Amino acid sequence: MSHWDFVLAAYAVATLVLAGYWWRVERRIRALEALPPDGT
Amino acid sequence: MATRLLGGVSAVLLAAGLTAAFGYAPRDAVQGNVQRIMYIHVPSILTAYVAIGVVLVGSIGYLWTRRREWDRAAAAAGELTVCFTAITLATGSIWGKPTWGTWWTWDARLTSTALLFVIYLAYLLLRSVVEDPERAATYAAVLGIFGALDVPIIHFSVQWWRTLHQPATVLRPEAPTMDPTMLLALAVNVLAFVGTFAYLASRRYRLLTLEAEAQSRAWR
Repeated sequence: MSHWDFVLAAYAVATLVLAGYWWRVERRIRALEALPPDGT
Repeated sequence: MATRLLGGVSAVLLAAGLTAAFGYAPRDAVQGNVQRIMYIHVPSILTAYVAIGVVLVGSIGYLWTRRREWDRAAAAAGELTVCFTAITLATGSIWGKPTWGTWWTWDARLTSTALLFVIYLAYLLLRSVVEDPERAATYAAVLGIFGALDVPIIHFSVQWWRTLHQPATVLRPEAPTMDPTMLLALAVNVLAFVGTFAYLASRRYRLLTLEAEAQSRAWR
């Protein structure tokens, strides 16, 4: 009745989706902010 | 500065939500610990509804004014609709296996939620395949508005059809049927998820603005 493996799997999925999305967005923001103003 | 503050508040709320789900809320007498999945499953679908609300407002705003800011807000919220609906479907499936004995069933609530996921996946695909930005934004706005029509179908599916999924316990005309401690833990997690959505959407909006600026520089 404890089913901790299912509970941990559910929380891991949620963490992976949100943290993965955040990491991907921040990485692309940093890359674009690092570009010089003229874009070269 | 405001975005950073929003990120900090969301992180604190997420930590409080985890503490409430595992340290404050009691173990469910019938389902056992697997019921703790509800503290992310329910907030994720409610946050997806909020995200769809932003898509709806952004899409109508764009079609009305043709201003790119509205389209960017809708695009950012559209991506997060897919993320939060994916979490809803995955966590519901993980909960369903030990509780219902199956990962998936073609129940009206599950099917209409899966349809929502597919509609907003198509929404993102549409944005990426149409090359002309004006046309992409217009088509996406129409699909974004159409997709929002699925939200009342999802919500009322448990009343309109005979379903395996339980009826509404929180968003209902009468008082919630949950234990107050469980309800408080759920409320903290709903706040945490909505705050996280607001933070991620603002960061995605920033990225879309930077991408548009970089593209306009490249065309000069």
